[in-house]
Amino acid sequence: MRVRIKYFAKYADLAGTRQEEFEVGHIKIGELLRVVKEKHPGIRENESALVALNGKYGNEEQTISDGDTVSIFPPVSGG
Amino acid sequence: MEMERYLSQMAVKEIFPSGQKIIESSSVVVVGMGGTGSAIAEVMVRMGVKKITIVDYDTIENSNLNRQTMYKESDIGLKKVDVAKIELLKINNYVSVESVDQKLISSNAEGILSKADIIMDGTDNYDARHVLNVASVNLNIPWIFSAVEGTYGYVKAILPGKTSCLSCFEYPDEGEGISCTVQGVLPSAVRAISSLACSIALKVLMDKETYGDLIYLDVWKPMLEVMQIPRNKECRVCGTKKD
Repeated sequence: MRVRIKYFAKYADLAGTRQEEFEVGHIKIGELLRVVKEKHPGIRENESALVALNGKYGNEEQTISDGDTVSIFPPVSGG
Repeated sequence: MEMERYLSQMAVKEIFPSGQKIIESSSVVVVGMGGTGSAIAEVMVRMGVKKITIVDYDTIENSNLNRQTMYKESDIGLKKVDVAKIELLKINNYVSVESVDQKLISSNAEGILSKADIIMDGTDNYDARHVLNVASVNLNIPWIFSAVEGTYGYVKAILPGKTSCLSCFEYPDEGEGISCTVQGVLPSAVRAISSLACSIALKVLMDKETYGDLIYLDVWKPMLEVMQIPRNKECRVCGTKKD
């Protein structure tokens, strides 16, 4: 199945694109993130990215479906 | 209050007819008087809030002046809250301005924040926001989370008991983060995030904000994205796993 990943903020720079599609099996968000980080090592494993599944906050245990959009945001500390 | 000053904002349909009275009866606490905090404080005072309390322990540095428009070269070395109080009263002498020259920590947070109708986030690190989040939930006072770096940032209304809090979505709750001079921040991004935070605060004060979505704004792309964040029943700050 195909899922769309949307990268926000510095993740778009690290991935070199604002969005791309992945061909994956029926996996959970956590597994998808590992695939993403493997392809784009700049998105660090130890950074707690905020993830949305179809516009709603998601957690790593949620299973994704064909056609889903997963958005990845970095935490921001400045002010 | 003098009505003439506020006519243009009172004419906005989202504010008319009762919004201005709500603004003028509101007490706001702004924690952190850096880029976002000082801009938020200025807007709130110009709009005519009843009282504003500004909290910071820092002094003004040369590297602040590109984006912290409250301060000038002659202010370098002075306390931010001292200068800000003088400047805010010059803008609107009808507003009560209280300055608190302290770092907000767990032991003083509830005392400083307890009289607020709304708390505004002008902090620049995860530790301080965690303190704000816990105090807000304990006091049942809404706060507006705002954070910015580079060309982008976030704003979110946190209404205890109604919306998700900062810990509901596992936002980092400890650490200093990276300073603005290292990570970089565009002054216009600071202004945009501050303005958005003020708009959301007005909605909260007028009881027109109920969702508490996380709003992402990038002024360079430009791009705006909204993420729904439901409450986490097991949240350790506002849920069943609360300490």
